[in-house]
Amino acid sequence: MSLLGEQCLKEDKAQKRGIRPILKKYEKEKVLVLESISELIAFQDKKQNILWLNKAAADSVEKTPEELIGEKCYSVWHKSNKICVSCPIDVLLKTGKITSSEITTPSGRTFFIKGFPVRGNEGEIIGAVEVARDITKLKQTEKNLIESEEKYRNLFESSPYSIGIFDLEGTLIDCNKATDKFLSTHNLANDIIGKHFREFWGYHENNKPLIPLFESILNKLKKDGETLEFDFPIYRTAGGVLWAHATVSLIKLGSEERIRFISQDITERKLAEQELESSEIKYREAYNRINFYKDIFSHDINNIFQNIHSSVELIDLNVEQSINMEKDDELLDIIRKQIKRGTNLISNVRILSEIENKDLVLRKREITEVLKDVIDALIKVYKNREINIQIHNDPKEVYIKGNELLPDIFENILINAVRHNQSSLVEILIKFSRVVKDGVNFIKLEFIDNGIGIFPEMKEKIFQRGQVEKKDKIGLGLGLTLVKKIVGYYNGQIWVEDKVAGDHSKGSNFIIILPEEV
Amino acid sequence: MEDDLSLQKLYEMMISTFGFKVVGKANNGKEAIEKYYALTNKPDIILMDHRMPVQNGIDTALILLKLKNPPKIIFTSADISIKKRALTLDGLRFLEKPFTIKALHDEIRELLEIS
Repeated sequence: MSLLGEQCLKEDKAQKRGIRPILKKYEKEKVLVLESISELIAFQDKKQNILWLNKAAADSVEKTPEELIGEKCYSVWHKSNKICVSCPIDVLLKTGKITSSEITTPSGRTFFIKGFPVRGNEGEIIGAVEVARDITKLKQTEKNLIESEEKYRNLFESSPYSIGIFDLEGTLIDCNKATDKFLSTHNLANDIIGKHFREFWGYHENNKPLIPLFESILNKLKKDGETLEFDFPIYRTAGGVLWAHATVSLIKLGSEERIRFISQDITERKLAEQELESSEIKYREAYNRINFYKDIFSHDINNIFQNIHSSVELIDLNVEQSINMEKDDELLDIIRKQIKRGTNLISNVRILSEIENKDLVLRKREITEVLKDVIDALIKVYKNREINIQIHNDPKEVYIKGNELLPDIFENILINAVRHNQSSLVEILIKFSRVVKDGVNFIKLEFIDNGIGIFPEMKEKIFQRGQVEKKDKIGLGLGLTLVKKIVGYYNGQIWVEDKVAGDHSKGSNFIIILPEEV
Repeated sequence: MEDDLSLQKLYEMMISTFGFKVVGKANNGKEAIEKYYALTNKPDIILMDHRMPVQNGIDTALILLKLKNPPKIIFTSADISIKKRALTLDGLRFLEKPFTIKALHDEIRELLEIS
């Protein structure tokens, strides 16, 4: 060895002696760093023999690092003598690329493994560093979450109630399968997800009123935050109505505030309620009818009997005593009139019964001639009264849909105007006009009289004989009840006002409107 | 007091047959009260129907019975519920329609004997 060579060797040794402590320090620090990491780290050679591993890796199989060095990776963690299927290290050693995968050990533990290639000076792969994280708990939580989600999704989907989740603006975010049957069209629930309620309630014309209803519910819910319940009908394109009972609440889904809308099909209950209500109405009507007929017998028929009975008794008395013979004709006349009155009463009861059973057929009828005929007959019947009847705006020819009962309307009103009139001159003004109500053209007739008038509290009751408390009955006869029934049957209306507003004593104005037939 | 004009006429005939005088007739309760106040010779007895336009019999009777020297009242009605109400009022008699001339005569005679 040359002097220079010796010198170099000495310097090299001296240099190595100087570097060694530094290297040792670095080595110690490296070990400290790697040991303090919770991930499992193992350095393997190309045959997957463990060359080095950190404490966490050794602890994971309850061994010391020294015991595991030289062991095969798959025999330590998989207790297997074969390379694991889809082992990332195996792939890495073949491809030279960083790889990762999840591997579950036979003991049920799951690791997320990432492999990094370790290359030699020439860039050739000489081994791999395996970094593994135990994700067993994470996987279990994930699994539990999936199971839980499945369980709730199953409950959500199998619920017979429609469950819809809306955002605060009213857009449907999610809904279950049961929602299908609550839709107005044949669209499936999935088709409406992402749509605003304004859109899907707008499909059917009859469901459009649900839009303002839902808007008010939404606003109230956002304002008060309290659960709301309500019933609403859904019209189906296929026909029919579905009744729903809704329970609407604000809920938190994650960090978002949502609206939960649960709807229950209550159609059967609603129909049963409606049927019950209709039965109750029918029962009440039948009860009122019985009272009505009872009332006729207790008042009108008995008055007729009283007339006939007293007339007969007075005739008998006259015959016995052979006096007042001239009065007998008058008494016989009373008997005749009472028999006629009884006949009319029975006829009116029959007509009422026919109207209630809706047995009558309506045809196009001209009314001015009918009215004039009734006026002529009235003047003849009340020839002992001074009567002046005027017609204003006589249309000469005007048609309505009516039947043979039309004269009864005019007759009853005009007779009442004469009977309940104490003026020496009975004045009746009949005014014709036309009005439009709810898009329908009506003929309006006003019968303005100078009779005794009708007290404000009686103005509705005079049409309701048989449907009011006995103490309120005022004995105007069957006439106005019949008139109201006939007018109602003709799809018209009748009511009474004061001739002079606010002063009933000046007379009445009976107003009738009947749909005009063109 | 009766709104059935033929009955009004028959009552008048019956009462005249008994030898009494009809001092006034009314078609309804309101008219009856007005006529009662206007009459110089007040009637001893009023024959009163219940169901009439403007003001019914019971309401009219309640007003008349509050007077200092109230008239005797014979109520005529076919309505049993009215009979119950009418008989709770002092000084009221009740004749159920249809009644006989004799029944009316007996009621009038009894009332006049009492007074």
